[in-house]
Amino acid sequence: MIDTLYIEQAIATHHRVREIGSRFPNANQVMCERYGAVFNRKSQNFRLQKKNPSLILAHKFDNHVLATPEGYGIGGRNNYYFSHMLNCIYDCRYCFLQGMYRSAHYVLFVNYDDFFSAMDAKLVAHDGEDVWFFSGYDCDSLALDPLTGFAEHLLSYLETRPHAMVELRTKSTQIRALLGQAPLSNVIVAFSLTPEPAAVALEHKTPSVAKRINAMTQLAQNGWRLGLRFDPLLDDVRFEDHYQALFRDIFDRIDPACIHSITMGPFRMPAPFFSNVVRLYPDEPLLAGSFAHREGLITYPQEREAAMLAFCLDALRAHVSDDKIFSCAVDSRETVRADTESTNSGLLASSH
Amino acid sequence: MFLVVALQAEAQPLITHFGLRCEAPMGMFRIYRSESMALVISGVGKSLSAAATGYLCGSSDGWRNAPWINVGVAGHRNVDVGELIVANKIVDQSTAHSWYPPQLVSNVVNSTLITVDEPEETYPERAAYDMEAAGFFPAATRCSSGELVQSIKVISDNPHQSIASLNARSIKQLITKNVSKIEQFINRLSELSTEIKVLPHHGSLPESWANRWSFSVTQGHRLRRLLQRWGALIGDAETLDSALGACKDGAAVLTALEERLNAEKPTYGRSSLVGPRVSPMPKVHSP
Repeated sequence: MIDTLYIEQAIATHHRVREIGSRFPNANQVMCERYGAVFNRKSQNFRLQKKNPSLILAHKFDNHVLATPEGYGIGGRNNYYFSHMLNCIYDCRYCFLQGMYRSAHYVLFVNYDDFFSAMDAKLVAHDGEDVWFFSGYDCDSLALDPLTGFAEHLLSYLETRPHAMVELRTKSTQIRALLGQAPLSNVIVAFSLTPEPAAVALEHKTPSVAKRINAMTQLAQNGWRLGLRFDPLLDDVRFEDHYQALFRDIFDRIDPACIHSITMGPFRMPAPFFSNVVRLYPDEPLLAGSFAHREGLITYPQEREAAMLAFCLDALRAHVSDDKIFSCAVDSRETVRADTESTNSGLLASSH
Repeated sequence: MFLVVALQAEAQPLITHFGLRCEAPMGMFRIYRSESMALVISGVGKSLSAAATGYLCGSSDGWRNAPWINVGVAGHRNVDVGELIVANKIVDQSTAHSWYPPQLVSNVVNSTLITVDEPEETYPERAAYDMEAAGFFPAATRCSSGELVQSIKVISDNPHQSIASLNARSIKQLITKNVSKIEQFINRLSELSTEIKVLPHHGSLPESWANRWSFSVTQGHRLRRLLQRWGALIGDAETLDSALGACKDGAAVLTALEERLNAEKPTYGRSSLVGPRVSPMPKVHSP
């Protein structure tokens, strides 16, 4: 599972480091000064490392909580994101992380309380207002939770902060921490979904779409509010059939009343990241498709993107009201929420 | 596959096992080669190791993203003589600079490896001690990805068996006893290297293309990406040939290719984790 565990020297005696270290008694423990000496080093290959990633335990000193790009959100005014981990156990071919990072090792920042302090500071800065915190931008929020135990700490923190609204974004079925306690109204468990054929072809090592829907069903039955994240939307010659089937599979099992929000975002990736990913996977059909270059991003051609969004919007409207649907497209926000002030665009494609 | 070895005594068992032949004429460093492997004898010390790595690279083809391995003997405070270790951290003792070779090969014994300027006889840390790795690693990672650049050492001395007892014969014996383990490690790295084999660049386009059309450097870059896309989406050389049959010049080739590719219906397709990992450059029939 983990053959090599890199540990920052300064946190070698941290209780969480000891605890996680004890879970891998056969792993080689390598001390390092700072995680960047391992993680950010040049001459690394993400594709090769993905075959046997190591775990890096580190301390995050600053920037625990960052503002989302302007306009990003699911209806709130104050939007931030945080990443207690970098990288993901899954291997999705459209994921921007493989183009952003040089290393596929997982980095876990063990000073969870500093993230919560930073969130408190934002709550103070927006006194009396809801503040949204998005997790799952640089990692999957829940996939490694059995190891990190982060969700349990986060939920405990959130119990007494009703204005702290959190999105946990995931493709995983690691929901034990959530099922083990009463639901919190300030937590949205958002599942990233693509049609099953896309998941099979492109989302390596992930739970099947059916298993994700099953996890959503359990959460809904236990009173948790859900998010649906169709981001990225992936084009296919049978795009409409595939997405219609996906929506049907979801709403056959999930009561729309349990859905807090739906976001859609056609595939998009910063051009330099895209070039890096193509370099890693030159034979990947997805990356060889017909794309446009807009505002520094590689996207589907504008017309096609609009058609994809319009189709999905129309199909989803059969299940949920417009005010729950948001777009992350580069320039097609108006397509979805022309009547709404709070539209969104920024955060990158390829959610977890 | 490139091996960098300090001493002739360390190299000789590898030269024999892999059937390498000495290259003539000899230059700055002695090089041995077979079709798939090259070995350089660097001499002792990190500076020579870095220089020999660069020399071998400069005198070889196919060095980019190939495995580069520093093989030799080392002392260790806690490991028995004769054991093989793979360095998961290399420390230059004189500068305190560290490197972390990514470890993708399982079931090997790993250790920190400290490169010293003078032979270490007291083994103050729980680590292996050598005199080359801190020169080799940063030089070799200019040629290849870090996962494929590794230092493997046979432990030759420890607090119970002094470095003073070592001689050419005992070093040869130590390497010889581990040669099959070294080969296994080499093979595993070779497998990994095929994953990221570098695609041919513009200069190696099919000869028939060069005779038929000319491409500027910029056009060449664009062409290479279009051919990659062709390989990923269509992959049929005959279709490619027919798509380009009427093209008068390089610009027309690019346009025709792009139009044909953009007309291709998107599909989730096969996973890139299934089937061949490297897109071959499509073969183009002669006109």
